[in-house]
Amino acid sequence: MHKGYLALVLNAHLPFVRQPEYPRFLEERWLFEACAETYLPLLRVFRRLEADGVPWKLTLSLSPTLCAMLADSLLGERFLAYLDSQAELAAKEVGRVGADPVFGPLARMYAELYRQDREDFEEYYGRDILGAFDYFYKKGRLEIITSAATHGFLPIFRESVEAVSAQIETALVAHRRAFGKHPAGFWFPNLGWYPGLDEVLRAYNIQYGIVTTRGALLGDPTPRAGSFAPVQTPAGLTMFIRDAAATEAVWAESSGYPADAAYRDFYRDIGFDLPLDYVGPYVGDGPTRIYTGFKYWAVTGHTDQKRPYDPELAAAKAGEHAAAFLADRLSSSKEASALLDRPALMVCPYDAELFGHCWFEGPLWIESLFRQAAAGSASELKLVTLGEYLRLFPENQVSTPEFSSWGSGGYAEVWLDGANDWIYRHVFKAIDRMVELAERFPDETGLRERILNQAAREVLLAMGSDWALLMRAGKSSSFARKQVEDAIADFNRIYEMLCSNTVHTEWVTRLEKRNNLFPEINYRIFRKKR
Amino acid sequence: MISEKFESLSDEALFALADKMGLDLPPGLERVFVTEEILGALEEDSRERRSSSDAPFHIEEKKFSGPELDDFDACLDAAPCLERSYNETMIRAIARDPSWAFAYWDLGEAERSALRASEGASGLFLRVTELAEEDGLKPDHFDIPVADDDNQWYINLPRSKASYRIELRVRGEGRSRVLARSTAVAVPRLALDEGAVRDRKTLALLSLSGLHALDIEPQAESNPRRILSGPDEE
Repeated sequence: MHKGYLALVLNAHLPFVRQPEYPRFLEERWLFEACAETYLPLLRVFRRLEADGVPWKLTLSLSPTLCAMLADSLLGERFLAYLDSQAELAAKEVGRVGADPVFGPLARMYAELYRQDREDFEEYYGRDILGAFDYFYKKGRLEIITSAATHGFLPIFRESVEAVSAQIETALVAHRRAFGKHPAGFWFPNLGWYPGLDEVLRAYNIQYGIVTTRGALLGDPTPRAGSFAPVQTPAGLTMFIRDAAATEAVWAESSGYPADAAYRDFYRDIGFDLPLDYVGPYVGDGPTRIYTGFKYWAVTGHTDQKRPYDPELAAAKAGEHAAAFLADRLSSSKEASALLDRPALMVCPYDAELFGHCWFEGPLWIESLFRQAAAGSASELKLVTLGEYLRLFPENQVSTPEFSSWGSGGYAEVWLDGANDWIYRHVFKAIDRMVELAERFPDETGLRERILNQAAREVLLAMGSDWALLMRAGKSSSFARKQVEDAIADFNRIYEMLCSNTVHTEWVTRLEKRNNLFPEINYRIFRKKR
Repeated sequence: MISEKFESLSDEALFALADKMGLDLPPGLERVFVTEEILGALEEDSRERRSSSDAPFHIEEKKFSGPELDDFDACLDAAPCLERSYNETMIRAIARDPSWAFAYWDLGEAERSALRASEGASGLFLRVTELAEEDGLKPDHFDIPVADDDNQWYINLPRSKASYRIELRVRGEGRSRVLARSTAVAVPRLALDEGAVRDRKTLALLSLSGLHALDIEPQAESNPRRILSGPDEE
């Protein structure tokens, strides 16, 4: 008899950073690094589990902007060029430290990583990472869900039901285009939830979402099962609740597993340690130093003397941490299940890019988790996707969670702050004008319809929550600011063109080619909701 | 690229950048030394960021492995190049957390001209009114004076789990006039209500769920300030 259910949920997301007008663009590396260090390694984990007959279940949110970039042929070409460049740097590194008994094997490990990535991407998956995930979706191992079109932080836009609906409807169309199915679940970007969002989502036949423990426990009424069972809003949306202890174990900055001294240090990178003329060709030829992905040192702990990274030690630690995670969840579930009329559910949602890109051993931890959950005492915990759980337990306590997010402070502080609040004046104005355009021109066809569709894309791009996050974090903030400014300026130019009945076809065509996401967008999603 | 950007800066801008970075430089220092100091400080920041990397795990930020000197880029062109005003009289309020809302507003040119021409005008202010649950207005409100060139404000709200409406008003001749009014803004609950949960099983499950670490257990309002009627009565 199962003592509890465990639902691992990953949110894979990156903002739209395609910059076709530049031969190489720094922020496109976010995508390439995530593909090389997270998505492809995770797919290799899934393949190994399948090959060994290990039963595993995972709910995976693939955001619409990420899907758009993974399906883009130009970015596919550039990813291959990135892998070739990394392989070249690996070869140089093997030449530099290959004879060293400690660092030589590490340089060869990186050479093998990028060789394997290239082989998987080009030959095994035919440059189709989405198709690779879809394979496991169709097999029933993965449940793929969607998120807001450009990861807009929805509580801030709650006043504009048109904008929130446009984020949702565009996402659903993009999901159906990528996977041929309507998603059952919806990932609230940054777990940003507000009462009333359920009504919009139910209107699009979305069945479930996930909220923070804080949002759920402050709900009305208080959930009787705590975070160990979902609640259902009056509108009929099932709200799964993040397990706080599972979050802390993996996510905590200084005490979470990834901070263990055995793991690879993310920050110590040859991009900063070696001369610029050596690493320069591999980091965009700019004057600034950035991460290359080649890291030779372990986290080590609070000392100036770093210890070299030992992959075997780290792999063993990942196994230990997987065992500890399962033991802790099993212990909680036994305690909670004794107080419930059904086995406890623990929902563990994380950013996918934590695994591999940030926490190098993360994919190994996931693999070990699934293998151990399938065997031994941990088999008392049953792995489920959220959709499966909902089919098993469709009736849940009615409660409306409170406005909340997983950002610092638990509400909207991250996305509404002195560093980024200026954007909302412009973004809301663009939304209002887009609604106005959709009302004024409901039946356009041909070129004018294309222009209106592009206007809708620009508004959605400006709404992306990543820009506000980056501005607040002070990382790539000038890039983030430019993304908002460009989207707003492009939208305003279209607005003025349509109001003055003039069309600059060449300019619009260029813009369509540049911001080519959501090819099936229909600007009428911005019509007033009556 | 960085040195080119330095060259494009005026002496004044270069010193302003150094000042913003907390560098104490003697006035009249040669440009080349100012540049060296700034680059040295940026490099120092980078080193500090790397050497202190073991403890903090900025996971969200790690996803975006941007250039180390991006802060510097941001310093160079700080102001967004979008229009500052859309020439309309409006106000919008957004809930940020249980204690704060953000409001921004704008005035149309006609309104601005009228205000400038009105001799009796004594200034703009925001009126913050708590709404009753049935959406009627409670008599209590408070006012926040704002300058003519302000266009946004973070408003500290007296009660969580309440709805507010923000009005942009102008005072003159003992009366005030509404220029723009926001829609209702609902701020979330800060903590569980006293006595909201009495069932022992539920209390045990909430505890297992991490209630104590969330800092949401029943408590006195953290901000007990009562709304006081403003000096301006209609």
